[in-house]
Amino acid sequence: MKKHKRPRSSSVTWLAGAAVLFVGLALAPTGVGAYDLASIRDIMLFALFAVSLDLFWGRTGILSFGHATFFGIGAYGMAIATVKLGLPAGIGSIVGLGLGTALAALLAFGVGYFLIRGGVRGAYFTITTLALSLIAQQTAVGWSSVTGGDSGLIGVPALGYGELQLTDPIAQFYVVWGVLLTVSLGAWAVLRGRHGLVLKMIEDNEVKAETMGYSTSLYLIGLFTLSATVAALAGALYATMTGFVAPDMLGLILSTEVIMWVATGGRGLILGAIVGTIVVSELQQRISSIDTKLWPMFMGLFFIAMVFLFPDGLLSVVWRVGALLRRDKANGEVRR
Amino acid sequence: MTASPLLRTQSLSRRFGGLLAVDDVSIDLARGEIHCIVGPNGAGKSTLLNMVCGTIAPSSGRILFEQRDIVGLTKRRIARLGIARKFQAPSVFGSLTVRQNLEVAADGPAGAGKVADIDDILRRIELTTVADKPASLLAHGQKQWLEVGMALATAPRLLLLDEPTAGMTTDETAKTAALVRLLRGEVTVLAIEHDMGFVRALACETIVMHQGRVIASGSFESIAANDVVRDVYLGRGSNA
Repeated sequence: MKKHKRPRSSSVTWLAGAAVLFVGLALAPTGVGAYDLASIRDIMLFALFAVSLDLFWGRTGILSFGHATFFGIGAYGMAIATVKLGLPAGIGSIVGLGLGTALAALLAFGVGYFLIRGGVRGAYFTITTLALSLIAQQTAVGWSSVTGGDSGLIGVPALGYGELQLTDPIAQFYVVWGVLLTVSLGAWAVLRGRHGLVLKMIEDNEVKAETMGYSTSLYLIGLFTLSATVAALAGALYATMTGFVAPDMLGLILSTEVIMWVATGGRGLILGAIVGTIVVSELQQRISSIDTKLWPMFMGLFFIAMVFLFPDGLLSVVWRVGALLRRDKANGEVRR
Repeated sequence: MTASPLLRTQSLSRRFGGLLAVDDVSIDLARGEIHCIVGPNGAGKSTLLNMVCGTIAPSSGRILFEQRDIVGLTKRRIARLGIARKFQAPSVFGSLTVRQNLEVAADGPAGAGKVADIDDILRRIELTTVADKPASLLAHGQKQWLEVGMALATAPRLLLLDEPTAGMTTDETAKTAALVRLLRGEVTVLAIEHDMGFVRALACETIVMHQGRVIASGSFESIAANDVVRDVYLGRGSNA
């Protein structure tokens, strides 16, 4: 049996998988109707959101249970700039994009600074971020003069700059496709290098990394801020394409769902976050169309099954099968 | 004029509630020498080590490294000054390969690229053949050596070893002693050890602690002949 160099072969496998996925998505506009196209576009935005969570949770093992806060802030930033402040269409959505992502980044940096530098890790971090999601949702409901309260804000215009307005559904689809591809590839490229190594060290043993002189808190705060910024970007784009924002965009349910998407695909794999989002969203649509009451029940069972059968996510099947094949091959050679 | 000690503690104490874990400890570590701290469980050895590397703050007293007080500095600052620490439980990065473990130590802020020859360290800790395996697959003793190697990869001035032979077989202990002995003159070493065989093999400066205090110090031979030390180890002293 040939000697296997694991890192190389696995990155080739993942790149090939990603290529197939993205080419498949790119072909979608040729084969599906307007409704399905919009729904695939939304799923890609949720996939971007899932990638943002995976950037932090997947790399550090620290779970943020309030990540919808940042998605929602991105969406609300966009809606407030365009609907409430009434900025002209030519620059409104650019300002909204800046406002949403900047607010999310600022909040993540502030929260990260106090929690992470204060030594809050593990379950404590998870619980605190869960509270963050609740606070954000209550604020959106209560501060109705700015946020529109329970009913949210409607009439968010399409993304645009000057004369250019992104209203064509196919153009919207490709913009989202391009953003998802760029962020995924960028994250993959950065995390393969030295930064990824430091994050692995932090996940393995943060105290040890610190005694080797690494500024682990700084790394974690930076990554958390980056992750929140990407989540806000997804939220802001989502608002421009669906045209509205509502308090459940920064609530607990969305925070939980995004965790499930990432866990389904496989934590720590960017491709896993995307595949997980697609699989779960598809299932949700199919099952809810039979009966809306079925979905929560199915979701619970599905999640339990996942934990027992594929604790490392659906994509772990790839390397499990690979390992089986290699073993069979090795056995065959021994017999001969 | 004799050279100043690399590390000096002055009346160092640490209190945990009602317990005085380290009580008025003043020690000097001579440059390039190997030093062992021995003593029964609860003698305050680990607490002393933790104060030197910044994980526990002293209740009172001073720690001078190169005549500079390092009390209150962060773990990272202390690491960057050249104090490396090997933990009692093996602390290596399991998902990184053996070589990567050494590289992140050598290239990190504490190492700052002072050590370029990773292969040399691999040879010294006898892990060359498993260099590209994930560290999580190593045997217990190999993990301990890897961690010593990671400390060496940062080219430290002072190497703190917390029970380097814990859980090792007799053979592995002998190998560890040989590895540490070779460091004499290159690095100043302060090791906590239970295993008197290991300390004997090193024939080093020995500090005996009991109930937070230093009760004896000197060469290993003088310590081995010391009646008070025998009492502590045989349990005839006061019951802690």
